[in-house]
Order: sequence, then C-alpha cells, then structure tokens
Amino acid sequence: MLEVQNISFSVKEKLVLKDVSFFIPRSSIFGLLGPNGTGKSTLIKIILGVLPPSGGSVYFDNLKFLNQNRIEILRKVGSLIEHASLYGFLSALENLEIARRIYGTEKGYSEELLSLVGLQTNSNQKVHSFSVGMKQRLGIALAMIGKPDLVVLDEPTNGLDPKGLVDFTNLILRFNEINKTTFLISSHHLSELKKIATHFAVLNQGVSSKTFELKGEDVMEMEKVYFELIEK
Amino acid sequence: MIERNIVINESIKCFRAPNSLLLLFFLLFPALLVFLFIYPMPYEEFLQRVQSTNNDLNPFHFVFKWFRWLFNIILIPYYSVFLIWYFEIERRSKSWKYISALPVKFNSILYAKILISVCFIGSSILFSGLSLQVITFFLKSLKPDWSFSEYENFELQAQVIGLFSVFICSLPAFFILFIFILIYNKPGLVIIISSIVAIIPSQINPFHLHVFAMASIVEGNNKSYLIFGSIAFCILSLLLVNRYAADILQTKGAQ
Repeated sequence: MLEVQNISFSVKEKLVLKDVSFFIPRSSIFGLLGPNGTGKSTLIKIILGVLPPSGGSVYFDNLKFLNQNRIEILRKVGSLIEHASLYGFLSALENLEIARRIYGTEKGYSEELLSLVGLQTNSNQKVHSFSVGMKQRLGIALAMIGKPDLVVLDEPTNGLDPKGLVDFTNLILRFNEINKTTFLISSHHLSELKKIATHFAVLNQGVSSKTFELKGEDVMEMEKVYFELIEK
Repeated sequence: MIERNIVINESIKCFRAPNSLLLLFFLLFPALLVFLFIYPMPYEEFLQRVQSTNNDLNPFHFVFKWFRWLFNIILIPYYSVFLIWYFEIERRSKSWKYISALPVKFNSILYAKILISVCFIGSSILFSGLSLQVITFFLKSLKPDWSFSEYENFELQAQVIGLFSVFICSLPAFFILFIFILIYNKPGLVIIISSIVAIIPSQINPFHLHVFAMASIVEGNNKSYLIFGSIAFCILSLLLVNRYAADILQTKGAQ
C-alpha cells in the first residue's frame, strides 16, 4: 500500500532522516516506533506531502508522491498529527462538516462517524468544552471523514488518560476491522502500540530498522532492537 | 481557481469565530464618536465650528469632516487587527498542519481567505458609511433648531460609490498586511507598524490612498487613476500569492 523508499531529510546540513525505508501492507496497523526526537514527526510530514524530502520517494499504491498527483493521493489519506486540529467555537458536527465538504463525501456521513466514535450525543456541543479524549476521538473521525485507505496518526495518544487510551485503541481496531483501513501510527510507547499494531518499524536517530511482523520470533527481535535503542 | 466548498468553510470560520460581530461593526465607531462629540455641543459653539470648517455653512460637511478624520486614521490599524484575528483562528486550533495535508490546491486555500477577508472588510466599510447617514438623520431629528434642515445631506448613492472607491484604494495596504501576517505571524509588530502608518500625514504616506479617495466624496473629483492603480496592485499581489502559496503553506504546516 505505502512504500517509503530511501527517504532522507536534512535541516541546515544536519541529517534528520537517513535512507529510511519500509513498506506498509494494505489493511495493516503499522507502528512506527522510536524515542522522542528521532524524526518520526518529520517522516510523517514527508509522507503527507507537508515537507519535501531531501532525497528518496514515497509511493502510494505504486504511485510516486509528486506535486502533480498530491491531491489525488491525499484524497485516499486521512491524518491526525499529534492533537486534532479542531475549531473550538464550532460544534463537533460542524468541524466534521468542514472536512466533509472538502473530501466530497455524502451528507449524513459526519453523523454516522460521530456515532461510531461515541460522540453522537455531543454532536451539537462546542468542541472547546470537550475533554482531551473526546477531542482525540473526534480527531479520528476527522481523519476518517474522506473514507481513506490509509490513516496516518502521529503520536495520537499524547495526553490521553487510561480510559481515553482504551477508547482510542478500540476505535482504531474497529475501523481497521470494519473498513479494512490501513493505519500508520507513530509513537514512543511500545506497550501501547503492541496492543494494536500488526507490523512495526523502529526509527532511531533518523535511521529505520527492518520491518517486523507481530508474530512469533519477530516480536522478540523487535523488542530487543527497541530496548537496545532505549538503553543507548 | 477558488473552490466553492473552501469558500463556504472559510465563511463559516470567519463569521462564527468569537468577536466576529464586534469586528464587523467596528467601523461604526467613527460615526458614533462624531455623534457623541456633536450632540451635547451648545448651538453657538456648533455654528462657530461649522463656520470654521467651510465657507458654505453646510453642517453636513462639518459632520463628514470629523467622520473622515477618524475613519482615515482607524482604517489601516483596523485591517491589521482583523487579519491578526483571522489568522489566529488557524493558529489557535493548530490547523495549518491539517490544512497542508488536505487534498486541495494550496492557492485556493489562500484565495478563499482573501475573498472572505475582502467581503468582511467591504461589509464593514459599507456599515460605516450607512452609520454616517444614520447619525446625520438623528442629529437632524434631535436638533430641529440647528441648521441641518436648510441643507442637503450627501446623497446616499454618491456616498456608497465614494466609499467603494475608498475600499478599493485601501486594498493595496490590505494585501501588504495579509502577506506580511501570513508569512511572519508577528501580531505585535504589525499593530505597531500599522499604528505608525495611520498617523503619518497622507501627503507622504503611500499607504493612505484611501484618504485621497475619501476626499473625492466631498470634492467631487474623480480619482480614477487611484482606483486603477489599486486594482493593478491587487492583481499583482494575487499573482504573488499564487506563485508562493505552496511554499508558504508547506512552511506553516511544517512548523
């Protein structure tokens, strides 16, 4: 589905990402793991076309991400970068409607999504009165509004309490199961990602590891790689 | 170039954001202040002031003189406050990153913002013009023994056309502020600069084209070269926005 091929990125001659490569299979939940400051967010922005890479390419269904096909590719991608981008003075429904108009999905889909994320009773409530957990659930709905094939979530669990965390992970599993949506989730919490991810790559100081599949010996190897990184 | 749905989204954000009504009607302030200044004035003082304003003793000219003075000073700072407030909507909701990753053309996002801003400030100027008519009507009704009934007020149609040319001539300053705030996002600096610009005399102030357009309402002379010059400046600014839209939004999204 998504292939990141030899991506490099530097800022003022400092190399932030060096030859990062991995492949995300369709319908998988792909965890991008790495300590803080290793370039995860930069990589996510490159995947979304917000930042141009210094080298390498991103392929979406074998289609190279270029400025010419940026809109075509982004129609199939939803995103939630850290905290949900929500207008506090608008209601949950109005926030979703703003995005729905852009993606051109059918009327009534916003209400459907609100019900899926458990916010149907809060649909007309102003977002500024929402808890962090509610905002993140609405953020997931926002990422799903265009019926995307791939949803990119950058550190989505930051600031969530234990209940919010459970609700959030359940939501991702649900969307993955019902819609077969592929997820790319970046995080520095192995324990959180392990509960939902089917595949992993570890990013350290701008360099990516091989991709691990969460079954059998791969899990052990991935944990070993990750804990070695943390110890360093 | 501009997508309808983006324009609808921008209008919802702009008109529903906190303090939008306050800003929409902010330009009523000059007319209101003029009313509060003139209404309690003794008749003799009023006559003296009218006489010192012009030779034809027209009290409407006196009202317009004060309105015009306040309006001209307030307009550029008003634009900067409006634009800071407008861009604050995206900054506060941390939505530049999200907007940059949406499947829409970068230039249509900025064009929609420009269109909504121009409609907003245009409406605000129109309300301001209407408020001048309202206060002159009230002064005429509340002070029947004053000389208002002996003279004709400015024609509403002429005043609207005059204010439209004021609006067009103020757009170059609007575009400069729009681009500056979009790129640099330094609200304090913009307020200071626009306040300084507002008080520099018009004769040496390139940002005060609207002052000359305002003067043409009374003087009756046509300042068409100012209008055409302003339109040309706006077209150039739009081309500039089109050229650098992707760079600007990618930079904002990456921050």
